Amino acid sequence: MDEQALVAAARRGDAQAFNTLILNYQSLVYNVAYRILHDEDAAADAVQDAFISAFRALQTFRGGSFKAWVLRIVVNACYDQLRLTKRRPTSSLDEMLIDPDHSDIVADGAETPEEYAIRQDLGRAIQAGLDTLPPDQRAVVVLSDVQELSYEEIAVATGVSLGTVKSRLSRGRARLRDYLRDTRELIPARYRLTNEAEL
Amino acid sequence: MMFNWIERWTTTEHERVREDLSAFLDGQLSAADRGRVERHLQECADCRAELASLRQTVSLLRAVPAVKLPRSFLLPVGEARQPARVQRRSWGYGYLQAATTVAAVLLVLVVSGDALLRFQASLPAYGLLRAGRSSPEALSAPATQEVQPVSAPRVGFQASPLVETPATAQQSTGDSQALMTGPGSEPTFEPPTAAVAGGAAVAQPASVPPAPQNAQTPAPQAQPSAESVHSPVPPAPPAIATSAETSVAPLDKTVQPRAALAITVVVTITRMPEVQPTQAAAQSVPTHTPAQGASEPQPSSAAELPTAVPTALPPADTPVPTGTPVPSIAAPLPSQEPARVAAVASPQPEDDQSHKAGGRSLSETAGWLAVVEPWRPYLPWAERGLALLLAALLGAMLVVRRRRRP
Repeated sequence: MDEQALVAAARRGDAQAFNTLILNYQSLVYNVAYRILHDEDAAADAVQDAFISAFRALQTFRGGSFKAWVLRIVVNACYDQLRLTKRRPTSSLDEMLIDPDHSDIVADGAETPEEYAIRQDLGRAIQAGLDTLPPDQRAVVVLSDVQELSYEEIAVATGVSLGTVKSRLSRGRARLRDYLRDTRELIPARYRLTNEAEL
Repeated sequence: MMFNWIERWTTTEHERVREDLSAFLDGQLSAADRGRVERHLQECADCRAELASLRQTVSLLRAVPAVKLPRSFLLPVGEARQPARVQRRSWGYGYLQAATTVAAVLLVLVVSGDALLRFQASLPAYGLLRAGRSSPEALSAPATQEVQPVSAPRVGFQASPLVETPATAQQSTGDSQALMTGPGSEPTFEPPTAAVAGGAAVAQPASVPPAPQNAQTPAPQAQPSAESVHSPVPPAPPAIATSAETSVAPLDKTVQPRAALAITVVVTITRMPEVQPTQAAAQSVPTHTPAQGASEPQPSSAAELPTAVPTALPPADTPVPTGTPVPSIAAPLPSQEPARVAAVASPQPEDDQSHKAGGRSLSETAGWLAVVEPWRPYLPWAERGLALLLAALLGAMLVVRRRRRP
């Protein structure tokens, strides 16, 4: 059953079809929400709300990328969450180190425990950098570089123009690059940014 | 100045390229912009370093591990299906409600229609009586019988008027014929018919004899009763006769069953006492029964009717020389009645009351009772089936509701 058929069935009220769609996208959607919110519970709430409201608003889906359409709902839910909780954009080092969420990263079957731990550290460091970005840049960076969506999908998911996506992504990447450079020691050696001098 | 200008131009170019590096990295620049960036990169080491750092950053971001789902976000069955389920249930429930309503309405219609049938049965009975009257002459009686079966079974309301119309028609003819043929009774009959308005009521005495013949049992008795009837008949005002006849004329055509119905109803209501409702009902019932055939109650009613008729008749004819089978219910004959009443199960109470009360009031009550009392549905299976269906539907609705709530 392809996606369009599933969407059509879900639009007719077939919750089973919609759950199939959720199975396809819940990991992506949750990861986006988590990277934007950096809070497991808040992300889970945003995702659940997004799927429910997506199911209800399915009549307004006018074709195109269902993934981008769902992501837009989630991203907006995340913006709402950030606005409501007024979370601090930056988390302290202590918080970052204690943060239990990062033990929950998906294990790669082939990697050793060491590699897993290293990736965990990397994720932690990157997340800290993402937290420093303003939400709109953070969302674009996460969608583009963590989830590797196309510019067009990002434009739909964030509800802005392609040009805006480009500029936000450019600024977000530069800002994150600056943060990572400033916190080199927190990043696993393997992933550390090379010094400009080394270029 | 010139250098400044050049510098400014280069810086802006430099900044523009820096801004485009991100898109350049993603291959999202137009061919022209890409060429410009590439040219600048060759000249500008800063921008090359910038591009490298951005590329590293992106690769780092892509290396960020995915986070495990804390749980599944599949919509819980209840919640997920809520929209769909609500619709489905409401649909199903709506259908159930509609079906229940229809069943209830049908049941009411059938029951009330049955009641009306029964009620009207009394009216056609008069007609039948008349027909019976004419029947002795030969043609009229069979004709009435034929008409009744067809009309009666189909539609209770319409059928009865149809039945009446022929009856009334025959009545008029029968009256005239009765005058001609009937021995002593005919002259007396005419006035009664007139009194009845429909003619049915008055006709009864005259018709009674024939009706019994149709009914089989009472026939022999009826004839004697007819003579006795003569005396009671006179009470009916002859003046009415003219109007009655006029009204009857349209009925004969059977074109306007409703009008006939209305007239008959009015007549029966107003004239019930005089008319001998019990007899009418009794006679009508038998006629209907053959047509319906399947309906059980009818045969029994038919059986009762003939018996009832005789009982009723005696009271009507107070003098009652012959006494026994006089059809006129109006004046109950006490002596004969009790025995006959016993024979006839249902009609007894009516007769008794009428006897006690005496006079018209008694007869009226008797007539009404006659209409109401013997509840023998014409469509027993339809009623039972509908009742069962209604019960089933109500049960289903209850079940659905219960399922809904949890």
